[in-house]
Amino acid sequence: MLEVSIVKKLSAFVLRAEFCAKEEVLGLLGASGSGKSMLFRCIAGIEPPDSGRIVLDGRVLYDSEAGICLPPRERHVGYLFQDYALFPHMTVGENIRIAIPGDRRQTQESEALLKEWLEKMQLYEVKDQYPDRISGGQKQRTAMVRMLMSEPECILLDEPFAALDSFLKAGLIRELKGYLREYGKTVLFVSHDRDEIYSLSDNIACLERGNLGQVQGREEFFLAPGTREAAILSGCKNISRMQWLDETHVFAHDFGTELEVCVPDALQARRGEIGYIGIRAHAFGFLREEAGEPAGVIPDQNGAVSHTGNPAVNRIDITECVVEEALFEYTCLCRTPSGGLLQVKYPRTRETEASAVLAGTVRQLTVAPEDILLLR
Amino acid sequence: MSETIGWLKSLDYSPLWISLKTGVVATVLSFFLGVWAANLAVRKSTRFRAVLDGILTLPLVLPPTVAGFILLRIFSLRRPAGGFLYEAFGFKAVHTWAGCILAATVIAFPLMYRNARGALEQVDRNLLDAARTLGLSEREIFFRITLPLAKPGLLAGTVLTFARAMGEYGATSMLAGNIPGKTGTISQRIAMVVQDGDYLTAGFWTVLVVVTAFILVTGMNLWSGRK
Repeated sequence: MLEVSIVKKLSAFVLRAEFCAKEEVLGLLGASGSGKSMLFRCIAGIEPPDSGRIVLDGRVLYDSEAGICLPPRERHVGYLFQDYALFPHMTVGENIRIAIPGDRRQTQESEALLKEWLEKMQLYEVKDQYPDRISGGQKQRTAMVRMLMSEPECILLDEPFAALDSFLKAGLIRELKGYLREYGKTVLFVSHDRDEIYSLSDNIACLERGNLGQVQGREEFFLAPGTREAAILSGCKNISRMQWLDETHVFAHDFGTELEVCVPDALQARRGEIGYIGIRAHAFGFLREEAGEPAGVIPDQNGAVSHTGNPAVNRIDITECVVEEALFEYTCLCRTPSGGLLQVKYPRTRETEASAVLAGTVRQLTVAPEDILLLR
Repeated sequence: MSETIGWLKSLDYSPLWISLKTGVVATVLSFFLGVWAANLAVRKSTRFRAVLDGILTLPLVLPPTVAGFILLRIFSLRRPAGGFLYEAFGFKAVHTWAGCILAATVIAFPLMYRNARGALEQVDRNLLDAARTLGLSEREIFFRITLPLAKPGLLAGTVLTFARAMGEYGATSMLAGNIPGKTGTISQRIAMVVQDGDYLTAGFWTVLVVVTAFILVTGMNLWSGRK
């Protein structure tokens, strides 16, 4: 278990992080420049925090009050650098070998272990190559094995996929997930990419200008992000200021429309803190109006309108709709009568919606009350 | 033809050996001192480094005769420091080959130091941090990561240091003097024969020095150019 509670003043903002990670993968979601790398550098012992305390499995790594600050060598914290930091003058094999603790290096046992890992990570063929001659995925695996060889008690992964092209990424994420599960100790993982965070992490917190938010389960984080910042980081495209009208109705200022919302019991007591609503771009359905009378409901890919099964579905009038085609989905920018913009996405496979939107016959958007996020 | 050979045979070649020996020893000394000082400077704060830099680079910017005069005043047997060194260790710098080495080392050292510092600074800090998190000791990091990565810069520094040490004139003539067969280096021999109007001998040594310098620098470029 890793307990961190540190403060460090940076040039642009103050890094404040307080969290506790068990034997799990804790994903930290943050844009670049949010203090992610500095947080890791403090935990690994490369930079000293200004004050606070870091404890790993009961071992105090840093305690400003007790005057303890272990050097990185004694922390046993594995750090996978964003650019992998492979030693360019050593081959893949040498890069890994140097991380084996000194007293056991070059022994038969360690060489056997090295060979086993090289084979397992499919690096055996490139073990005599220099880092500039191997692929991005091989570099990542080399850095990974090198880190594991130093027998870390916890692992920090700093944007491990940033240096890779997206085509490779999917496979590597699955691979990495397997290794991490096998590793079974605390893993901290920072990324700016919510898909990576979602697929690798058990729990998630977001980091914004040095402030680390609350740790949440990953489903909870994406389904009910809680704060406006977390919602933006989790990919929510439509966010509006809001005002309560009654128990279950709000007025969304930026969309200029009244909406019915669904307030979970847990939030009832904190209604007053809610100041924003968010609607994900995929949560909308389309309503077509033909010849003056409401007609066919087009279900979105969630079967939104039917998924409501709820007659109380919100209908939002739209005046115009601009469609942008991407490889796998359409993105529509829809304008509400008051001038607010809503971003709506749906997969290209939905031909009916596509033709309706393109033909300009869509008059209303639908969204189910339970799909409206209530944000602080 | 035989006349030329006879002339070449009659030449005193002691300056070549004295210069070579002086160059090699001064380079070895400068190399270790320079890398050590550079490593110290890279680790320290910028203010400390600025002062250290100023002191260590001074011999490079001072006129060699000024440096030579200072050395002479320090190491003269009649002065406290020089006298003590002679009494305690039998070390005598004035008018000895040791003086040649001392002068050449002092003058050439800043070249080694500055090149070494540049080379060490260029080593990616991330790699050193990575090595630390992997549990390597500082000693291991220096010898297995920093030094190999700084190799091209260190090599360049070594070659320049050697060239400078071998060609040293001003400080050497002040401290060690020009005693043929003992402290008479090539540079001093050239100065001497030109004063005597012996342009032929001066030309011979000049050609030798130019060719050596060219080979050294070209060799260095070829070496650092290959991977």
